[in-house]
Amino acid sequence: MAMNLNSKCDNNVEVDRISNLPDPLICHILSFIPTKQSVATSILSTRWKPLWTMVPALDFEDTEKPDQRYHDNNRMTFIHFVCGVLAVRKPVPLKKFKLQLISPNQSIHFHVRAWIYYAIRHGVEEIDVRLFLRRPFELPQCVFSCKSLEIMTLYGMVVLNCHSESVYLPKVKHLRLLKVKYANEDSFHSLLTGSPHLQRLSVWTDQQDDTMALNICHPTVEWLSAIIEAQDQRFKLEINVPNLKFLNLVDSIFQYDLMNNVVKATFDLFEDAQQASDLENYSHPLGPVADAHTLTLQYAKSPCFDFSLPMLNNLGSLRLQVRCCQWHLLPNLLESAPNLVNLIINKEDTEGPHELSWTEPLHVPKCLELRIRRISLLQFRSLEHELELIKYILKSAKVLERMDILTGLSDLEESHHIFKIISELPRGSSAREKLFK
Amino acid sequence: MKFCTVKQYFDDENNNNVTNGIATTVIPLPNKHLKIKANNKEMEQYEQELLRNVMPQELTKLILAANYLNFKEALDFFCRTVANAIQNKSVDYVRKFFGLESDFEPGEEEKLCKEFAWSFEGVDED
Repeated sequence: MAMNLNSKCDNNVEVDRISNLPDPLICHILSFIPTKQSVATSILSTRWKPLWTMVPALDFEDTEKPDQRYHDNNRMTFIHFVCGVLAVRKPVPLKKFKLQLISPNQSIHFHVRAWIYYAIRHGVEEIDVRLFLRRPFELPQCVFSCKSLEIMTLYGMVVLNCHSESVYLPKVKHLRLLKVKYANEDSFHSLLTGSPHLQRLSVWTDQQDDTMALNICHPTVEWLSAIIEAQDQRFKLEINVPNLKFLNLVDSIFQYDLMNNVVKATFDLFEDAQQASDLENYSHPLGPVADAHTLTLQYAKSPCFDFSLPMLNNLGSLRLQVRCCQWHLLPNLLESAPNLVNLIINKEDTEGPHELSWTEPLHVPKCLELRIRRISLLQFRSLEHELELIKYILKSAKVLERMDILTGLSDLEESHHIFKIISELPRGSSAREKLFK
Repeated sequence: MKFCTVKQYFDDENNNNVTNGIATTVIPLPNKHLKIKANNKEMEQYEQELLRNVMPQELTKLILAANYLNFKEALDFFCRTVANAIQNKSVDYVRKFFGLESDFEPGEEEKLCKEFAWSFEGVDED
């Protein structure tokens, strides 16, 4: 493994700096660069000539521009390159196989299949395949019974066609299924049930074939990210993941049921209040995460917070990504989080028009008065309604210990100017620290 | 658990593999690593700093040390740093970076270039 270093080398500057590394460590370094470049290292010296053939990773990215492709018949193409590499490569285990391919070529599927077979045969642990093809590529069945696979990322024109008997992925811990297609309803479920030790799942999908529901159900998943592009309001997303600790949800207008307690969640809501109220049996989207400790909310339009919010009694930390001028939602939100300690408000854009201004609520939200210790305001400037908000916060936050205001401006002078204005505002709490950046 | 070999190292006095200088850089790493783990940008900055201040030769010593200590995160970090330094660079640059000399027979190099021609297209002339 490790080799003895000759201390005399320290005095020479131009001396060989890498040859004291043993082959396996050089191969480890090469496993972090694309295969195209690691093959090129073969001409560095005679010692380096065979090293790329033992690298335990393959990373192919077809970066050919379309016009280059058909120009010269003698030119080695990407397909030739990959086939050549696989043929010359030593039969050492393959830890990671990554392929990104953009191709109008009709016969490419044949090759991709062969390349995936190669990876599976060599005990691959991580597969990352991103395809931009004319027609979808059906993932070979051997993938679904790969005993060594731990992480799989699939993106684009890939079709998954499997059924419960054929899927057994004992080591898979992390699955990312991004805009892939499913041959039938059974395929998605089979994939989940066939991965008994799954911990992290990312799903990005649209409403396929007018299905009205998606059910994400798994006993061991702890981290879930779901981006569902559903056009129909009646679409229902069911999440039954008892061990869930972290949830990231980006949705359109639909309902979801979450049958467990989530500790930390991120919601990206693009709701239209009008449409929401038309739904029968409307339940507040925050309902399922009412017990969360940490919540991140971002919304583009004026959302459902005008409705009765569930009580978020466990909420200790809240991060709001808002667009400018949506402060009227804040008191409502603060009212339902009586134990909030940490508040972060990240303003998205400052461009006008600035329609609504800050109007003080009738009474100070309990958490603001009694609990909040730390507030961070990101991307705040010194617009009138912003200052009104800051004034109100400073006045009402009695136990505030620290307030960070980050302007996000690169102009220091302007930042300083804003700092001056804000530091002159009256404060309600005695001990607090302010930071400006 | 990460430092099961450290105890061994301190017991073994005749060990030349890890000089004191390296030990002081590698061992504080787990704390730093845990702190920066969440923040990718800081990690990049740290990497840049590392590359500037630490000569490539030192970097290989760090790699060997991390390998000997069985410290996977540090090993991956250092290897990735070296990989980023040589990524997308011309063969001459990489040779200079590592201090290597071509010891090929005349003509052998051209033959290799032809064999995997696709590899040698589109590289920075840094």
